Amino acid sequence: MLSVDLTNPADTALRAYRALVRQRVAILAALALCALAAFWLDLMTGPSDLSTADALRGLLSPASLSDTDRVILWDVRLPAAVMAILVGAALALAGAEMQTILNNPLASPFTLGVSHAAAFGAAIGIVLGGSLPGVPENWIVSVNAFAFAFGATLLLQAIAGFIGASAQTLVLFGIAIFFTFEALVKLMQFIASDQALQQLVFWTMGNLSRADWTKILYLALAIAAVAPFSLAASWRMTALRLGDERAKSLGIHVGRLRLLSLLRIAVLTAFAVAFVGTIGFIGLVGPHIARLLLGEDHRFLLPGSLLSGAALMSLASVASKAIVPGVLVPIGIVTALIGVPFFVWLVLYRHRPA
Amino acid sequence: MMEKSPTALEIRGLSAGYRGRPVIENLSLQPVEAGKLVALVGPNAAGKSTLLRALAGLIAARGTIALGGQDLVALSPRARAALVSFMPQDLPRGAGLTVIEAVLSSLKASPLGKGNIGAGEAHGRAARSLQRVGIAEIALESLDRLSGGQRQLAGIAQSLARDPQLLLLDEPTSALDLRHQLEVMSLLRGIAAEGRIVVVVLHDLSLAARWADRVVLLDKGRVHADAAPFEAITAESIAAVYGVAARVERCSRGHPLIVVDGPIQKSQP
Repeated sequence: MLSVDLTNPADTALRAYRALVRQRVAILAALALCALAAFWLDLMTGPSDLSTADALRGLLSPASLSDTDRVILWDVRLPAAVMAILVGAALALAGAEMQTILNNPLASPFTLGVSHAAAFGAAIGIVLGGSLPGVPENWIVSVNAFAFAFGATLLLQAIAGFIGASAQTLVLFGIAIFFTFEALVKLMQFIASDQALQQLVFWTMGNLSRADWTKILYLALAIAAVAPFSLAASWRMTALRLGDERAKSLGIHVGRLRLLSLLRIAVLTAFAVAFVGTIGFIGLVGPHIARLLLGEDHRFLLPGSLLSGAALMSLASVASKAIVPGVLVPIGIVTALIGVPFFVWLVLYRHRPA
Repeated sequence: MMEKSPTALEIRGLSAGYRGRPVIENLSLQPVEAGKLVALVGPNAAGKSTLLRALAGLIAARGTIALGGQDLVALSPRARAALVSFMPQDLPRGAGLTVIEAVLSSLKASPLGKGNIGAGEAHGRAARSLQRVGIAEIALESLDRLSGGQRQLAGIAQSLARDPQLLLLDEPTSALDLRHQLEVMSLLRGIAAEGRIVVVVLHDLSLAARWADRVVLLDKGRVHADAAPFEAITAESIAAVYGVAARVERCSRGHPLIVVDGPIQKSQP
């Protein structure tokens, strides 16, 4: 409880609120610094030696590095590190929106089967091969994964739009999609050749080493295109926390808010998983860290989720290189291993009596 | 808060309900003048909440709902939300918002009558509304930590901040102790006295009779009575609608008191 100014409690309240807002801006700045630090740590971690001074110099003028160092920095480390930041940001922002529109703290891009749909798309590309007109061969898997992730979300929207998009209905249909695609992926594994099976299993573990500058550009553009709309909807999302009826009575078109948010989630998730494979828990844990630090005001929660997701993903990338020296553990495994203890803590925390 | 120009609420030939289940059909009420508090009472499933939600535009309705001569049914949800505010029975638990954030989000969620408002005006409105309701001291408390009574007050502050002409509340007192019932009802009276129209669903007939200017007694989707409290709530109307034998008495201070004696026996042949 704040101290009470007997002359005018409303002024006291406003002063305290403005102080809270300043504090949240500071927390956002700190999160951005954390993400930057994690990015740098990620960039500096790897089997071959690259000094901080060399890395800085190499970033500013690539020509000043030796050929080997330049390749390590610009073709290996940097794409993976930038991809980690972008994937973490995209998945956590998608997760934050999803948790709000579904009014479900356990929602993440996984919940509605979007990631599994992507895995099925990738499986088709890997196992059945084939080609699409105008798509280079090494892009088939990504394009397929994207198409299925996006298609699954559109399907969900269509169903939800047809019968009225309540949060519960969406979750139930999401679960149906989740299990359908999981079964389909298993079916593909069943009919796959040994070699394709290995490739497919590896894909579903998630891997940043598939990053290249073209993929980074696409993902960056996707985030840049979507994030402003997320932020523009932040007050409406905050109001939605008080329930559908309350939100509707405030003049919010709740159905449209949900559908547009789902569309943003589809773009973010589909681009992220198409390029690096299935990556769990960032979309669940990132938003919750932001929630604990910043509360439910979505003007802060959404950017906070984006930043904490980016930082987490970078740290997971560091861990994936550091756990077993010389071996790059697939990052999907690392995020799950980090995510599970956090998840358990979260469940316990939520059930702790107030 | 600004003084309102006289505005009347007119409801004519209103039909509303849920998919495949009409609840109220062709319902009309006497016009309600600005500054009045109307209580909607009646047994469960009488259509009180349906009528309230139809007025709020939360469910589809046919017929006329005119506010100050403007047909609300024809307005977009946004335009309507600038005039009408609806408060559900309770705010959900676990929203994670502080009181002032809830009020600010209701101000910024959709444009008010004259369009979007800036942060400065939103802050001022939120502070005034919290003070008006008497909860400025707990502005930064989480909604989840408030008592039931404080939550209702926070909800009312949220509605009031938007300066609505018509305020609709669904059973705001049902979970409250006596002290908070009194606080909420006298606050609603004061809000009506500012020139607004307040329509409130109540279960407690004594509260309705004590605080409302008009009582609308609904039964099976129809208006059984629409009159001053003592004319609408009578032993006969209670018997007819609720199926109980009751007396409507005045206490020594003139406040109404409804005493229920028992169920009415099925009519003898």
